[in-house]
Amino acid sequence: MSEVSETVNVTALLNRSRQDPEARERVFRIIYLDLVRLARRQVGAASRDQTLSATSLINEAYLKLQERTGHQWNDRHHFLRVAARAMRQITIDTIRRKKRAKRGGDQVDLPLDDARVAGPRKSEMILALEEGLCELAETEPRWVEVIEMRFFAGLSGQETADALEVSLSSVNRDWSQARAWMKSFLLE
Amino acid sequence: MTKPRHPFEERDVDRLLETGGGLIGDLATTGEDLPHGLPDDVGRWIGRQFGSFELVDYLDRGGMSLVFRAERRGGDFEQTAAVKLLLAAGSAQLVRRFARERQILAHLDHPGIARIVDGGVQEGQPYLVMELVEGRPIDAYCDQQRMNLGQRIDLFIQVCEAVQFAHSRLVVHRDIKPGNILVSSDGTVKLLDFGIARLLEDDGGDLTTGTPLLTPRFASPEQVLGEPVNVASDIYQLGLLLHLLLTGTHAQPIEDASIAAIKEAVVDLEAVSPSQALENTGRRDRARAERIARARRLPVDRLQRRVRGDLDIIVGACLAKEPDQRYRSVQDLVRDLRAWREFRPIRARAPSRSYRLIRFARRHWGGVTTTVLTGIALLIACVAVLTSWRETLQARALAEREADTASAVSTFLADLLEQADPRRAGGEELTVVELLNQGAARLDKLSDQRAVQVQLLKTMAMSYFGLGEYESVEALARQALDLQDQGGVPDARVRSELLHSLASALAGQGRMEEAMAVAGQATALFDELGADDAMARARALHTLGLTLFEKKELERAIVLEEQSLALLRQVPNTRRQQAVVLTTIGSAARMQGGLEVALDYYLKALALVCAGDPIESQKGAVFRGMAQSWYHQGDLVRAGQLAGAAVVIDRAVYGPEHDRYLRSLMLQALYDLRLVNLESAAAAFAEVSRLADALGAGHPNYGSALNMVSQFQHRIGRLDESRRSMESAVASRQKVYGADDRSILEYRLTRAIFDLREGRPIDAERGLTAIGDSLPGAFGSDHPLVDTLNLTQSRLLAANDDHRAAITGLEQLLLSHESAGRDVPVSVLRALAESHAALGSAQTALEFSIRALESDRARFGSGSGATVASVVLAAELYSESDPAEARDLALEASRLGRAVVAAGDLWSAVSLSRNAVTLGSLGLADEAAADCRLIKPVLSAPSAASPAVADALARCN
Repeated sequence: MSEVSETVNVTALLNRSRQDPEARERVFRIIYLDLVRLARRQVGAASRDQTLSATSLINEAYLKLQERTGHQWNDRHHFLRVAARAMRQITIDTIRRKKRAKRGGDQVDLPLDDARVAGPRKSEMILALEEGLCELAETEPRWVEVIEMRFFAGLSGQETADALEVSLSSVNRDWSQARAWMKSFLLE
Repeated sequence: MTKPRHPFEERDVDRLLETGGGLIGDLATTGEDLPHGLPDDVGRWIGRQFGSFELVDYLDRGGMSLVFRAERRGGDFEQTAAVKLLLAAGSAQLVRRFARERQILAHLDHPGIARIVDGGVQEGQPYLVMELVEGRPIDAYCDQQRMNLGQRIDLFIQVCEAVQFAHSRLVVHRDIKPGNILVSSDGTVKLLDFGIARLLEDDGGDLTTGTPLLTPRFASPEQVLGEPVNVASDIYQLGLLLHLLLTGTHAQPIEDASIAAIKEAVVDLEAVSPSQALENTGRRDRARAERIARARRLPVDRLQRRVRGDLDIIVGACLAKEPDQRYRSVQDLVRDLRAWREFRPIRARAPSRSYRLIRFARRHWGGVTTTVLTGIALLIACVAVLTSWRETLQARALAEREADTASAVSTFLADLLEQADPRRAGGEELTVVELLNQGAARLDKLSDQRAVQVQLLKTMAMSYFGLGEYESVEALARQALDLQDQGGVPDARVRSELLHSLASALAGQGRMEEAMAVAGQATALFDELGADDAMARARALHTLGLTLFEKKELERAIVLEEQSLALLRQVPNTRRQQAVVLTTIGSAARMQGGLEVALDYYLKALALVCAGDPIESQKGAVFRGMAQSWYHQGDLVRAGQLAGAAVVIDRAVYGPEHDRYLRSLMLQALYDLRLVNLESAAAAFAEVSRLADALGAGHPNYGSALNMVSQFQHRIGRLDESRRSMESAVASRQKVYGADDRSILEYRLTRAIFDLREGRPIDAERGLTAIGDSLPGAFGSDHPLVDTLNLTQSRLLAANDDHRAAITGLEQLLLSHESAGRDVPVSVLRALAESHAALGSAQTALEFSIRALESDRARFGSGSGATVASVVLAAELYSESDPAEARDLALEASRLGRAVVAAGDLWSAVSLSRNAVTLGSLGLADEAAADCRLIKPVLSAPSAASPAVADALARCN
């Protein structure tokens, strides 16, 4: 794959992706992989214990995409929606992969204070949440999108509102309802 | 009531919703803190006042805290500070402890520690006001400034001093990591968050909230195990930091954020040493290794060498898993670091003599010059060098001095030292040999004491032996024997020792027949006198065994050495002598092709050499033997490491003119060549050539030195010189060892391989015919060289286009290796691929080629220049069936090849010319042209002229 042909493809794909489900899926894969690669590279290059934030990663992925399309594609809102979904998918895939890698699920749920390190329980909660989100998508698709943006991608309320092209107050309302739903679902 | 679907605690869920679900840290396999977006609640803190400070800007967040920039309000003066809000739930107990600890921290007044200005609890929210430090994390700062190792260590010492100051006030940092150590633009170091971790720890309740308190890569074993944390934990963390500053990599790389993985990395696994870490990086990711080295202003290999040794030891002494095995205090650590800076010996281990000698030599002469002594250092240095001789003598198992004669000898040596007048030596250089010669001249003055004189002659002879001056040894030994003859019935033991010296000296000069005769006399002496002296008899047997060994009469040598070993085992305190004999047996076994047996003997020798007080003088020989065994088993990396160690040790113990040093050096050079580390190899070969010239063609090691030089010259395309060197090698072996010396067969085989590679099948055939019948008999049919012979014969068939016959031969080799469970040599796999391709069996060819490539990558690492030929072949074979894969491989070949071609590798240039054809066929004409531009000058050099190179050149035109 040469850079040139890729550029053309990506721009075309992006433009088609609003209508064409297949193009949407491929754009999703591209962004998904970009995010994973960026995260890996950041960590590879990270010589100090910097915290990787989902938000900064998404911003970088956006810049990369801009670079790749030669700045022909400027639909940041559309990008953020895709990226947030990709971030959710990456998170879930990562947890599942780690769980598989461990064999024997018992190990995953060690009490957290055992070595004072987080992770296992958080992973379990997110995995449980994912089941709920799939059901929720049937009834409250807006909540799911807000959860993807705010919870998985770490976007601010305003960014979420911009990306979804709705008002901030409407996002805030959705978010607080979504949070309430998440909490009750996890404690059910 | 039904059982709840999810067993989660409410506070965990709250925490999750607060911190968000992006698991990027996990995803990226760091095991670092789980990441957070900007916390939602940051905004609500801005503008609020804590004490007299108002929060104006969000700066950062730590594991359990938020940090804001704050400004003083309502005071008479302006002040900016950092305010840290601790996010721990404020239990009454915590608040009390917090107030107490804050008091202690407030008194921690040191320029290297960020001061605590104020702090308290406001509406249940604990906060700290601290000096606002502008700067970069220490590791980023060092890289940005491209600081060399010395500068890094100086900066690190500043960190240590701050930590040490706190320790003297009974405060432990607990969270030493780069993010907590900032360096300002003027180069001053500030430590943040002293003792903060303690404010949060031990409260139990807050640890389950899902936020890790410690950073796994910078955690100490005690912290992970939840054991008491004290000064030793800070020392451990300092060690982790030092490792990072030296190598750019983490000593505790954590692959996975699971508890088990963290425990394994921190508690169970020994930390990788800095030099090993550098080496690993170099193997896995050359570009990264180069970046790291550049930031330290050294080439990759020199950085590795600089770190190896003392710095490895210092870091290791910080990173012991058991707290009581670490440095006792930060002061001790700093003392060793300063010592390193000033080329003095460090204390982290009981230093051996040769080790101290190296440091000493560096300190005084700026280089490792152990024989040339100058100026004021002369007198002290003589003592040091003479001490090492004495060790050398012992090592050679030549003498056990009687107590009284020993003191006479010492007096004599002391006299000799006094002679070396510092005024006379001012500015002048005096070598050890000159000193000895002075001593020899003075021996006459002792002529009234015949026994003492004999002993002295013997000691002098042994000293010369240590220096490899075999002619002098011979002269002195003969003089002593004559002297003994004049005094009636000689002491059998002394006489046997003298005969032993003489035999060894003759063997050293390559006069094997004479040596054997003399060694025979020594053994006969005992039978004649009926002497019952196990030690002396063992020694005589050993001399004879060694002589046979040098003559490559291996089986007889082993029999005699085994007898000698059995005798030595009856005598107490013969650890060293036993080690020498074991090494010889190991080497004999190795030369017979019994690599496992050889390693077994070497390991036994190593155990003796390293037990108790280490025997430096024998270490080199053992390492060398092990390196060769591993080399033949295909473990090049390990072989290279051991050869490197042998070079260092032998140089320190024997000096840069000694043939033991030469032998170690040759091995190192050879392994560098095989690993295509051509720059490092070039340096080693220059040294080998120098030594070989100095020793002369009559020296026993001249032949093997020239053999290696020839291989190097061939590699870098000096083909005529290579041919001539090999001829000199053969001539020297014939002269020293006789026409039936089996090494000559090996050299001829190598020459035939070269002829084949140069595209001269007729010459190769002639060479192979000459040795084909005798080689298997001389080495034994199991010997690896026999495989090489068969392989070369098959390749010759292939070169003459008889691919079916070639494949038959190659498949036999394949089978014999596979059935014996041995790795099939890559050259066999590649030859199979080539011949199958020539017959049109594309799929089979591709399969063999992939096997070759995988095998090469496993052996050298996937980024190594040594893999070029296999990558080129795979690219070529893939180009029909899978152009995308072919393209990737061809580009990889071109990238790897360019680097080694730039270092002068002719044969990689030839490979690249093939690759250029592949690139062209894949539509990558530009890359092909670029490669051709690079390799053309190499290929068209007159010294490289040969049919194969002409073909390569034609491919580019």
